[in-house]
Amino acid sequence: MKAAIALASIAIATVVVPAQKFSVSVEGVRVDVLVTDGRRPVAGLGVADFELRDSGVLQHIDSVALEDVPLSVMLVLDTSASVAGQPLVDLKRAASAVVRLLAKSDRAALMTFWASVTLASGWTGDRAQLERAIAKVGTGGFTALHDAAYAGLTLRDNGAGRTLVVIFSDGQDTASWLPGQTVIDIARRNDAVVYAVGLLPLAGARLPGYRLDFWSGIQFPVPKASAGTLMESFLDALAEDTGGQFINAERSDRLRDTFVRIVNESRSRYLLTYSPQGVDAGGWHPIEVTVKGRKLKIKARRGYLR
Amino acid sequence: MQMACRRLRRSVVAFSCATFLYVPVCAAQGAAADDLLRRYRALVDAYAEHDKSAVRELLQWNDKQIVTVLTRLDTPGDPLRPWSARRYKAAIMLHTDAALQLFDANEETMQHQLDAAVALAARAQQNDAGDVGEFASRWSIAVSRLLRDRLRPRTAERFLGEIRKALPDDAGVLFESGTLAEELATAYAFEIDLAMTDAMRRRTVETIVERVLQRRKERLETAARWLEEALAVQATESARLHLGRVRMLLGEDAEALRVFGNLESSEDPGVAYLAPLFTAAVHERQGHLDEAAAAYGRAHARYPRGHSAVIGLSAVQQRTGKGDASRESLQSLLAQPAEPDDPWWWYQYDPAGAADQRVDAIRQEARR
Repeated sequence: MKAAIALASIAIATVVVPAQKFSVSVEGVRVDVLVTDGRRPVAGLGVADFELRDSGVLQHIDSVALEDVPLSVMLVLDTSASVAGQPLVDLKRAASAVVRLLAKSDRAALMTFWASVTLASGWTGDRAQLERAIAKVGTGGFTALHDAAYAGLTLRDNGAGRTLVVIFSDGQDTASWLPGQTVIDIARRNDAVVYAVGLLPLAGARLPGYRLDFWSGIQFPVPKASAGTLMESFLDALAEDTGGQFINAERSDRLRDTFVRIVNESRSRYLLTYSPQGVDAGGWHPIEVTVKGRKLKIKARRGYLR
Repeated sequence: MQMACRRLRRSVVAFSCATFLYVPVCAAQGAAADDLLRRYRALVDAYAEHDKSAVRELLQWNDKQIVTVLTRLDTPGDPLRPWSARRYKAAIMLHTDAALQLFDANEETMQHQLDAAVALAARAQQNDAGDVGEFASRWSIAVSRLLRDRLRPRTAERFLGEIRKALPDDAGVLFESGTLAEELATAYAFEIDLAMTDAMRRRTVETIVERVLQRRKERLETAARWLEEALAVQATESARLHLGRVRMLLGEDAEALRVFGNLESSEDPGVAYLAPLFTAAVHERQGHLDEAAAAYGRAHARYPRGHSAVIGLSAVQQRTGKGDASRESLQSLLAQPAEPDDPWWWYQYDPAGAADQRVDAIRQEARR
């Protein structure tokens, strides 16, 4: 569909005619990449170290940034009834720890959800405002995880920095209107990285099937999806597709350390920028990132959708 | 004679608690059964008089004793016959409260207590015991809602299966059965059952997916059947709305759109909101995003505090490249000062505490 592009980070320099190939540099695409050697992030890499393929076509990387990129953290916190009590206390501590980690140029926003989604604090660098918003958080009833994830991605910071969306939930969706697949599709049009934090017993009560979720009945045909993909759980899939990670904290007293680890890890990520060449303008663009000549673990979004 | 009595006793105990047909007993057993019946009636009367020990005492009874009583109660062999509507109601709630005491302790015994209550409702129907039929209808829906609220949908399904035998043409019970089947097909689509476990044991993801889809279709067809039967007895907008959604989930889009279209002018604000909301879902799935956006707009106009219509509209706007409009829609929703509310949240579940209140109201009625 014409102009069906909602990637806030893409600067459109000229009108792109769908179904044509990018023959000149018309749009910049940003890819947030984590490079690790074992569990240790790898620093000191530059443009010449990376190889990036868009739809299988090798691309010229315009820039690689690591430290000087402001961070925008959207905290999307499940405050449904099951979080009441000590988990809520621990969750607030974890959120406050994130606020204390913000650098001068960083910003954060706070969204809470049960059945309804609330923007408790809009984007700001004012730590006191964020702390006040965290202190006011209370609990409600059902869990609208999909709707909240959607709202968190849609209201991402439109500033120049990188956006990290941290979604915390302790259970299954019980109230959303949007099916998980819609949120995954929206995430693919968005360059925010999602880290999802669960609070589930080790045995794992997570139900599979974000593409098969039948809650609201808006199911999309997914003809080429493998059965394995159909069974992926929502938070796993959302994090994987955006280059983030799903982490099960298991216990609420571990939330603070988990949140701190996520923010620190996001500061070790490289931000690669390139202008697509020789690929179709629309549709799904699978991305593959490697580091030349080294066997390192790369975590990046699976691709992007236009 | 003794041998015959033992055989009979075994057959009665092994008998399904759900039916409790009248079985003639020998004289020796008859005297003991009459004594049990008297003790049972005293328990029921104590319960009706708010005696808290009645439930506790009933829980001391074994299945055999309960079966013996219910087999004779209000039959030609019952010396205490007839049982009044008031007593039937109290007895039904006595067993219900006993079942609730066993909620987290013993599922099987809990089901036996519910079976006993169903058997009483059936016996009351057989004997035309006043307004017990109407009471039993509301009671069974309240119990089903409580079981669903406590995440026991399969227990609710089994319970409704039994009550349908006692109240086969009850519109409320049929509607409850239909909405439960709809819930099982959606919210419980991934519930692990034996067939799923078998597929997982064989580690075939394809088999699991196929099983999920097949079971969902079966449950939806069951839901459609119960809702159609409910509508045949009593045509309500709620039943039409649920049947329309089940048709939508079965992929019968034209029929679903026709049903929703007729309901958009409903005077019930919840129905008038959900009908265009579901219409939007059909259009979205078909890829008709402009029609979907229009339907979301109609839903929002009819229930401005509803979250789902705005979130649905925002997502459609984003998919059609209207990113700014999408953000504005969402921001306007999140800036709403009013307490959020959305009929979609209560489409399948009661608000917190409502299920308990419903049962409590029935309890009060049984103890009048």
